[in-house]
Amino acid sequence: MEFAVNIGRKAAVILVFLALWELAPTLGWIDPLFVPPLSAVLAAFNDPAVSAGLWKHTQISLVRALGGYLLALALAIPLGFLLGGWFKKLNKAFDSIVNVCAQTNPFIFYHIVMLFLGIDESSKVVMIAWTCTWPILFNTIAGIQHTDPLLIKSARSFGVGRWRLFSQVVLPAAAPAIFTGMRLSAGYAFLMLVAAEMMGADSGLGWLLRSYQENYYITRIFAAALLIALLGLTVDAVIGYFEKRFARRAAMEQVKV
Amino acid sequence: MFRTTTWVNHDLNDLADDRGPAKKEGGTSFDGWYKYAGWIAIIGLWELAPRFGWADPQFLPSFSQVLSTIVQLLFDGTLATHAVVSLWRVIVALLGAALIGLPLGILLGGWLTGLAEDLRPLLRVFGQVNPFSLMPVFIFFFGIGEMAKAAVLGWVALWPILHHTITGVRMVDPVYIKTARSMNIARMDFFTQVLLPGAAPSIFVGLRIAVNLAFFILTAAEMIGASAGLGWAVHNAHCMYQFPRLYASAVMIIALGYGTAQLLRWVERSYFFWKEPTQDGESLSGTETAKAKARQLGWGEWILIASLLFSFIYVGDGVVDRVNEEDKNFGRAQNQPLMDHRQHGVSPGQSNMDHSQHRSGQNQNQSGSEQNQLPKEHDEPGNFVPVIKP
Repeated sequence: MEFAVNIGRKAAVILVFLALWELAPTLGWIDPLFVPPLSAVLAAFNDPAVSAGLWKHTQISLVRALGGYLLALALAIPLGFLLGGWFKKLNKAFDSIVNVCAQTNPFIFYHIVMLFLGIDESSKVVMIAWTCTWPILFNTIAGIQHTDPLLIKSARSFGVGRWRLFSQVVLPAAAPAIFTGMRLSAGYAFLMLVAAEMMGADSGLGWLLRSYQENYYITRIFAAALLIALLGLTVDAVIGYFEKRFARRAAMEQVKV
Repeated sequence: MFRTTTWVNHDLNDLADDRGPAKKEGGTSFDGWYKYAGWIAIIGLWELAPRFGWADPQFLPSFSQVLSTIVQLLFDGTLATHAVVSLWRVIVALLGAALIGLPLGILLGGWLTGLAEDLRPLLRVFGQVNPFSLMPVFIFFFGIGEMAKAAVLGWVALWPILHHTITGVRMVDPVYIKTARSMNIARMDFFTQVLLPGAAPSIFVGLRIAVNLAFFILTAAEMIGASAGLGWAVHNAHCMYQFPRLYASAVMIIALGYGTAQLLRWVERSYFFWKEPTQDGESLSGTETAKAKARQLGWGEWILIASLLFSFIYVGDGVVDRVNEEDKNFGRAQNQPLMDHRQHGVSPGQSNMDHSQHRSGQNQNQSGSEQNQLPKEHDEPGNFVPVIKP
């Protein structure tokens, strides 16, 4: 019951916001030329020209984001295992570099990658991969290093082999942290991709948005922005679902402050 | 009680990593040397790869060449100006976001907890909104000058600060609150002695994320529409095929971002000076000397930091104004003839946003690989007279 009330109140807040969005321009509190009412934005989705364009470019952007993301996963998780688990000295040597790299702006990196890979798909995918790699890498390393030593010792004392120690003790213990990193970088991936596409691309949601902006299709801009925000939330929810499925312990339990 | 979000975990891991057992081992001189091995390898590779032709030296200038470019650009003042402009934008935006986010977060987390819980989904949606996508709205509310840029950065920085402040205030150990209450503590003391220190770890996490994101977005904003700043310098150098300058600006912006993050860490450590001995007691003699140095800052030092900050903002304000003014004049002097036949009756220098595009487009015509591919229903992308098509 309490749960239902909670959901209801949250929904109410969102509904109030949407109602405000609808009313403020129609009643003239805000200039509707710059902030169109919600109904006009939703109507833009209905326009076949707009929805076709949005659909097509969303697909393009999603493929790019997914490609970069998967590349980052394939790189960062094994690397994190290596640095966090086996080669601690190496981790120490590269610690500060990894830190600086994580601070390195993906857009600057994008400009440099463009020099080598051109401005086609691969440079965007590499940029996304670069952005996504660091949170995953950090969290994988942290997750492995913060595995309860007691677990490892007791597993060892039961004579568990190397592989099983890894797959049945360390991996499950580190899973919440790894998922945290995955979630974080998924959020980054989309934000950065859209900005990168606004900077230099000939397709994708960011590019579409920029072209709307240059032509001042205000309602379409809002429609695209809404779509991007919803996509971001969806991606977050999907990874959250996997997190719940695969990382059994609540993530917070692992790190006590 | 509350669902933690991803940010918290990531950075609390990070926090724990700072103080946890993972870094304790070692402490020999070999270890100190070891830390730099990675740097030596990377820089060595960077230096050697172009020299031996493993990478095209035109696209990857060697480290020494980049370094000399940095020195040269620093001395002729251009790089320093861009750095000041960028840093000024970030600091103003962060201060604005903090001034809004911290009180609001404390209010929501401390007193209006029900409302905070209800608002959470809405705040998450806002956090997902990419400020670039709503650029026209920002322009509508804040104009096209520095304010719009500050607003974009502030928007990005606000949500992590707000979220972490709310979370931090709610995470304060109830035992502390109850104890303080049972001692009949004064309201103000409760706030400054219990609530704020209790929430501070999370607040600092939020600030750090905000700094990080602000630098990311700053670069993008400067690349997309600005006439100065390091992001613009990178973009412009790329357009003009000045690769040493590109790398120099890139190194500079990375250093700035890293430096700001480290500065925040230093403030954080000195704020939490009391935590070190208990959590890291035995490593005080080890490699973690920075930790041992952490101590409480006195009032004088806080005032010094604040006044430095404000004098920087004051000086930076002047620099930004000068740069924008110069850009306008540059636009009048250089762009007028070029634009006259393209743009009818729209005076150049109307907005900052257009200039970078015109300027870079004019300086080298081969550059516009990005901009040229954008569809243009009217030919001039810089025409800011809004043509509204609902």
